[in-house]
Amino acid sequence: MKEDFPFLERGVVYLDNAATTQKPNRVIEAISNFYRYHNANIHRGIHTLSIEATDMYERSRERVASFIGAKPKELIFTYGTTSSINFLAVSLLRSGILKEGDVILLSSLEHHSNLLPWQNLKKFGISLKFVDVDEKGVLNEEDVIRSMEGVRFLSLTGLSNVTGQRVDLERVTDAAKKRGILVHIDGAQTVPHVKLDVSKLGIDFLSFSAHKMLGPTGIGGLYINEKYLEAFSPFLVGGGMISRVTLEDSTYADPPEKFEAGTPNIAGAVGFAAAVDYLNSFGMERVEKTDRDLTRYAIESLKKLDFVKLYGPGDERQVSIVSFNVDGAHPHDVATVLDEEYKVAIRTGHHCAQPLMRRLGVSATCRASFYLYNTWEDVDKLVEGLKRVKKWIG
Amino acid sequence: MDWMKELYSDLVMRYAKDSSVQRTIDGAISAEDRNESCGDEVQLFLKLKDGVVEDASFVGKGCVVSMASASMMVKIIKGKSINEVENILGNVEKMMKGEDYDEDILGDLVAFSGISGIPARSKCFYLAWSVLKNVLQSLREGSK
Repeated sequence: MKEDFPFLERGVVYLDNAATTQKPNRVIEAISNFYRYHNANIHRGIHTLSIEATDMYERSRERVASFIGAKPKELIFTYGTTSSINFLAVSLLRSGILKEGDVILLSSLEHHSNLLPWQNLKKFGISLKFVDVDEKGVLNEEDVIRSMEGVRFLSLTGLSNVTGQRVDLERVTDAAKKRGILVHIDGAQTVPHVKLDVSKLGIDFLSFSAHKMLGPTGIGGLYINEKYLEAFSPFLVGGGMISRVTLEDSTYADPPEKFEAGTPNIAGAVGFAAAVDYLNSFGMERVEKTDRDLTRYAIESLKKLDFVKLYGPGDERQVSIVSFNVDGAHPHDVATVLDEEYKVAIRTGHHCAQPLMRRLGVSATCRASFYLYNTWEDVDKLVEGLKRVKKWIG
Repeated sequence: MDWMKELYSDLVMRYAKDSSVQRTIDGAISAEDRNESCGDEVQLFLKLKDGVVEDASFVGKGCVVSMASASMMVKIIKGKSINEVENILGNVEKMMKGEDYDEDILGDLVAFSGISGIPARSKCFYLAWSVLKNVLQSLREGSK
């Protein structure tokens, strides 16, 4: 399978998959073929190429929607998870679904992109409530459920980008539904690693990014349950999303077009669908098992190093991500030595989760994150590198 | 690879791990800065007398690069006049940008001569110097 990923020919042990994943030939070729042979703007075109490009774009929507168990019209293409959540927060406010006095429930695990868009609603009289994690950074689903009293809306990560904790979404969603609470899941890390079906799960909204699941950057998805499609007004207005326009007033096209003003990222959508096809052919169960096994092996291996401190649940709930620190060595120094001496790429810093860092009592951590092309040898290389780091710097 | 051996040389490591340089100075001018992306922080203390740095120290936490750089800084500016300190800072900035600079006045700091080639770490290196720069600027403004 490594031969599907040209990037890996560079000999890099790439353990920064939570930031972005590498792209298989199938995705790279789908994008380049689109530009080579099919490039045209979509919708309203009468000529063959435009009809073809429109068809490719809409078929892409169908494939990505089906990947998450949604209907095509329920999937809007955005720039990525951050734009999805911004779009969602503003639309919930404008449509009156969220209004003054409402309470939004979040956790202290959240990535800044699932925090700041909600903080922006505070000036409209909407308040935020947080479920805290324990000192290892673990979120207890019972605590989420216990905090649901008086809550109108729940926005939660499905898989923490720092600790790798997979949240039991079924349990949390069931409890929310019973209380009439609307649910949005930040799926940036969940959708790439775990089979997620929005219709089975019964959530209202889901955000995710293509580039964290083998697809290109600059495109992502927002799932909006069909019951909200009419109530939601467009986030952006302009070309491509209208039905009838006069100088004074306009009516909009049907969803999902009404939410996609301007020329969309057509080649990106085509690449996104190719990524989904690749994941389907590999099998999402196999992806999850590979990521889980690698994570477990990494945790076991790192536990043997007495100078390494691990964060997160450390059990089967942890998928694809391992955060840690090395005694006496700053994460930046760890990353520099691993990169230069071992060609091991990890990420360091606050991982866009400063509240969680504060909760863990650190200013930064090292993070190794895995995907389907990683191997146990990659983990061994990381361990070898960390021993060197300790000797040199720690 | 070579630059990394230089970056984590024995000399740099000694400066970074030398906790004795970290102290506060009563009645000194003090300023601080943080590198938000990694949480590194440096609080600088400067005691001036007749336009000369009588004593300098810092308190901070961070990576080898930011701590060694701060440590070298307080050592080199001690006993220097404000003009000399300005000159050191100017040469440090030149070194960081990869421009020609005066090696003779930078002393041990030339251990970081390769920093211009490592943009990912130049922010670490410059943290303490940015604090110093702010202090110098407010001194200049204060004397106007």
